Amino acid sequence: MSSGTVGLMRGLVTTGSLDGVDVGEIRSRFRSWLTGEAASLRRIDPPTVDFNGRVEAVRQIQRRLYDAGWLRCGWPVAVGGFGGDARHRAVIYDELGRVGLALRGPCEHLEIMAEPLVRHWRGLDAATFSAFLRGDELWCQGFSEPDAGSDLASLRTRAVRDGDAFRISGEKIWTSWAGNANRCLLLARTGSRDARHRTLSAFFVDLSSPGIEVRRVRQGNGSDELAQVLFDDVEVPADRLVGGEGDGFAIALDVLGCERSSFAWLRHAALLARADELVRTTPVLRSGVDDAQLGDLLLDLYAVRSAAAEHVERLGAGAFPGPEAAVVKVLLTRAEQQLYDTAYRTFGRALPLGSVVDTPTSMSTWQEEYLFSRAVSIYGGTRQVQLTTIARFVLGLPTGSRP
Amino acid sequence: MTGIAADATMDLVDAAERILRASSGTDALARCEWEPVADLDDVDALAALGALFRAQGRSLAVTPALGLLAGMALRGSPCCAGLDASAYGDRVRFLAVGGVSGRRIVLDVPDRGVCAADAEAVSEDAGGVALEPELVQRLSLPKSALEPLLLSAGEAEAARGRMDALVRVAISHELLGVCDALLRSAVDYAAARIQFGQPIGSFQAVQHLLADAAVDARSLDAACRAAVARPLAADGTDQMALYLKALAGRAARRVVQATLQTFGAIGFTWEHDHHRFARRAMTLDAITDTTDELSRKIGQRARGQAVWRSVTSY
Repeated sequence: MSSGTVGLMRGLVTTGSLDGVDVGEIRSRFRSWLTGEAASLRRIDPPTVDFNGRVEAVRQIQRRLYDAGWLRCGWPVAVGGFGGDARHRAVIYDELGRVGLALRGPCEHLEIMAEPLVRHWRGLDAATFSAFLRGDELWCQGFSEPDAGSDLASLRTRAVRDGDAFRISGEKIWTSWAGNANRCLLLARTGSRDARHRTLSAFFVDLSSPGIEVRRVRQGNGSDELAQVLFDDVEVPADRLVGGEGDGFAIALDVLGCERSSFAWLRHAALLARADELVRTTPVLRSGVDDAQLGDLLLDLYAVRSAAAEHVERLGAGAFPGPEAAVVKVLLTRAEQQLYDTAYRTFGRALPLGSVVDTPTSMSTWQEEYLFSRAVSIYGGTRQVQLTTIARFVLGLPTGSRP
Repeated sequence: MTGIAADATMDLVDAAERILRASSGTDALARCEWEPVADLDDVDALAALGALFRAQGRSLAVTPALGLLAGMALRGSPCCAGLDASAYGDRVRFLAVGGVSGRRIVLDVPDRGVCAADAEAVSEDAGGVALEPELVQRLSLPKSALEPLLLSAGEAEAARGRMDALVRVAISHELLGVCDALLRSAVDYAAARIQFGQPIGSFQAVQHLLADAAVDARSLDAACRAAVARPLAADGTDQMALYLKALAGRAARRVVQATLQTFGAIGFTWEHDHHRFARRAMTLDAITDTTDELSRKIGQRARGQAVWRSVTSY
């Protein structure tokens, strides 16, 4: 075990890896550590509409958790982790949420793109990955394009082989956190567009490369984590190809599989923490939310927790979740929208409503999150795409005349 | 549904379903080699319980399993259990689960305790004849027919908690079976029924209707599996069973609606078995609190305390 191990982590592992260590053991060790640290960690994360401020706060929390060893649990030793798998990570997120400290914002990418990169990119070394885990670096995922949203396989960004490198040109959009990111897992076309998903390839690109321009997009909720990323003849070394040429779509599916399992788990912990706050610290009793509506919200949270847990289990056991994980994404969307519907009903006219505030307050944060929650049925595959996936690949309904 | 990994649980469910389609009553239970769970920590027995009730929901078989289970939890021996008892005047109304004829009835009477009574003392309560009397009947009996207490109200507390949890877990599995069967049958129908020159299942409106219902069924599946994967005697079981049955009732209601919409008018006929599944779901919903009662209870309990403890208590 590496020298980064401190405090309660010490002695947990004798064989040099967490592989096979009971997750309950990690949970209870982390819980005792967190008992002493939660208050000071919570002070780092003030609610803020300013996205840069939020990114900085999340980084500080990540650093503390990494330095104490916890964020290294569940990642292979070869890339700087302590071994174990998604199940070991899941208990950490669960315990964080329990004390109102769910990891949100940019470090959500830990549970979206990291696992596919770890498994598919031979070039990933411990130094690079540790920078990401510790929050020193921020990574993003360049998939969507102006003409390729739900229909990802029609994307146009081109990567052309040029000796020991690829030259990449094109335009990505809705790239979350690109404005703060150092690297991008990019999906580009390395062959004929007619071949659709069969000629897509994935690259691990430095956003500091010459020819890349990032333009932030301010969203309807007021924050600006989305961005447009332009690539103008950008040179990317061939060893930054993730998987092989033409493996891009399969890797994208693995990314989606993670988004619908371990990310959904991470996110549900954040929602539970917010629901906790809503119920404990606000005048729900006096609001228009009755017991049955509150019960319905808790059932939605229970439903996504149950389904996500099952898929984290499968991911941990080795397999990336397939189309059946679309169920988890639909459940997550339901729970998140239900939570913020409940918040809206609870606070009503106490929210800033039409006003745009400069100095964030608890109410403006609820409103900002409420507005964001309206769009959660769009990102990561729209609700309609998820339902079509379930209908065709889980239920086996016929294709008919669909294009 | 395809897409569910073939596993030991599904093998058990399929085997039980085959038996329950071919036989009924105590005979079917004997052929399944099923006995009511006596030890709440026996996870193999819990898995068998889940499989049997899921198969019962799929096949709409009628067995006294629920009554035997409740009686076991209440009294420590298999018998017919009367649930949700309430007193009015000099009589006690209750839902009898498992057939009553020739059996002793064990009844948990509010403010009194657990009593036994002879089947001869009961009469049909107002509200029509039960279609599935071996499954559940609405009955009443005179208070004078109640025999001396088996357990006082205080002593009954623990037994009642154990029974409610077990019954709720069992019913949730049966409701999952109802969802399985309805979805399976609606998907087959949507693939075969041609309108506008195409199978209706190829239309996105129909696909999304069924997919949305499948989301409810799949989350219930995950919750059911988690429920029987650990000992039920552990802390938080009562709370978990409350959540599970509320989720099950909600899922079943949504699946019943979406599948009827898929079948169209043919599904709304007496010959079609859709209404039998719908009725079974309503009957199961009524036992040990309806979904709406449970949702209210969940919301009420959560106020002023940690949601975390409520949702993740097990």
